[in-house]
Amino acid sequence: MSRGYSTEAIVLGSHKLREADRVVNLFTSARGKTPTVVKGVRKVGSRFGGRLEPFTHLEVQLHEGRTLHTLTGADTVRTHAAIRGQPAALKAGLSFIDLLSRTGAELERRPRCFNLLVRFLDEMEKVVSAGTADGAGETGSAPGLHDGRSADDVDGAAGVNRPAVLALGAELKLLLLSGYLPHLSSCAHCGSEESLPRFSAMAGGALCADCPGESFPVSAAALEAMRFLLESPLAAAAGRRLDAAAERETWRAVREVCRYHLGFDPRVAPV
Amino acid sequence: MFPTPVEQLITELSRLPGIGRRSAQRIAFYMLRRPREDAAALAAALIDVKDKIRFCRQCFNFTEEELCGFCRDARRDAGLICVVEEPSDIIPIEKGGDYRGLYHVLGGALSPLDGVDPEHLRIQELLDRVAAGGVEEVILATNPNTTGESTSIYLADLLRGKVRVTRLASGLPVGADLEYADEATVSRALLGRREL
Repeated sequence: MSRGYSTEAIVLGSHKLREADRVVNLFTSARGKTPTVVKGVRKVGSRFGGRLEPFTHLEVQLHEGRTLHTLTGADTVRTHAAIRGQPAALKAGLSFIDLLSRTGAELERRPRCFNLLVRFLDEMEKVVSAGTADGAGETGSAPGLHDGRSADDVDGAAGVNRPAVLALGAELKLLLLSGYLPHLSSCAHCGSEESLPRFSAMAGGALCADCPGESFPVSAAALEAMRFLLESPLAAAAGRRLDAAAERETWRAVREVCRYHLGFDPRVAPV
Repeated sequence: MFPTPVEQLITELSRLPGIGRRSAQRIAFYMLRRPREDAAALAAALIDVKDKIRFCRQCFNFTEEELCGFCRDARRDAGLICVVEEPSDIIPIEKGGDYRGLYHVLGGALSPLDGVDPEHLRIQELLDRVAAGGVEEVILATNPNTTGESTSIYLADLLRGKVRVTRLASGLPVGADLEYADEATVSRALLGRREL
């Protein structure tokens, strides 16, 4: 019986293996996270070459091995090169990829997560293209990845870090798909819908002023934004105006849920 | 399964990059068949490299002395600095034979997912070299992948206005068929086309 198969895949990242090989972490529509050996890819003449950079959307042919799969063919669906060329978009994209690659088990089919990833990258590319057209996101001049400049600086004219807001929307949706949707409309402890000034990952979401639980202060604007990001399509999330404080609080809520319920600390902040 | 010294050798060899347990066993049995002098020479070379080799004070390439051979060579163009990720990246550039400037080894590339931030690389040392004067051009020769590109963008932002900053061209490899090139490479080759 042949153990070869074809599937759509998105490249999440890779690490070196032996002299000239790589293990590429693919997220496939057929098997979810699929660590895949690509032989000779680090050589200049490799036929896969630039197809295996993060965010690239591919149609791949894989051979199923005992522990790892092997890539036998790849055709590009979309390169998403624009995302890699814009630091704020790259950072936001890596943040989402980090969360996705650390939730769920390897070779666990997660079609809804795959669709979320595809839509996220398509929307991010639109955001980058629009930013570049405005002159706000030109490669080499945009702030973001390592410079410590505030989120507001990324799209100064609009005052919105659109890649970060889009990533936060995708990350909240990923938490929902992973079964960790936080309570945002009522107190996670008593159910009260009055004032909700705190967020507690341990309690499972927003908390009223009276209920106990380890928590951090959260503004009504941040809670409203989280509800909007969860309920709206990603295209709408990218257009959402979100001030820097609400962005930071939303990211902190995502990070605390990851720490408490999923057992890992996210490595890249989108904001 | 094997006598303790053999097991120990296999364990040590399998720690090397790209060497699995089976390869380690093969090397261990090969060394067992070789005369004692061969094993002693290998052991001495390993100790020697650890004792004598350090980083160049200026460019952070490997060297036996305070400055590496490139930094000591007065015939090389000190106004040109080629920035690479690792010392091994210098070898293909030198083999090309067209570059006569100096180098700067960053010690890696920026990678948020791996926890590599600017303070983990020798970026400040590069800025200090440029600030000291005499540098006319910095050539960014980090790898043409996501981490290498983001490192180059970051460095270009820091160096812009202080010195001429250039990036290695990327495109089709010499001797390859266009038919088999991937889309990203062809796009880069088109962007970087030159007049004949």
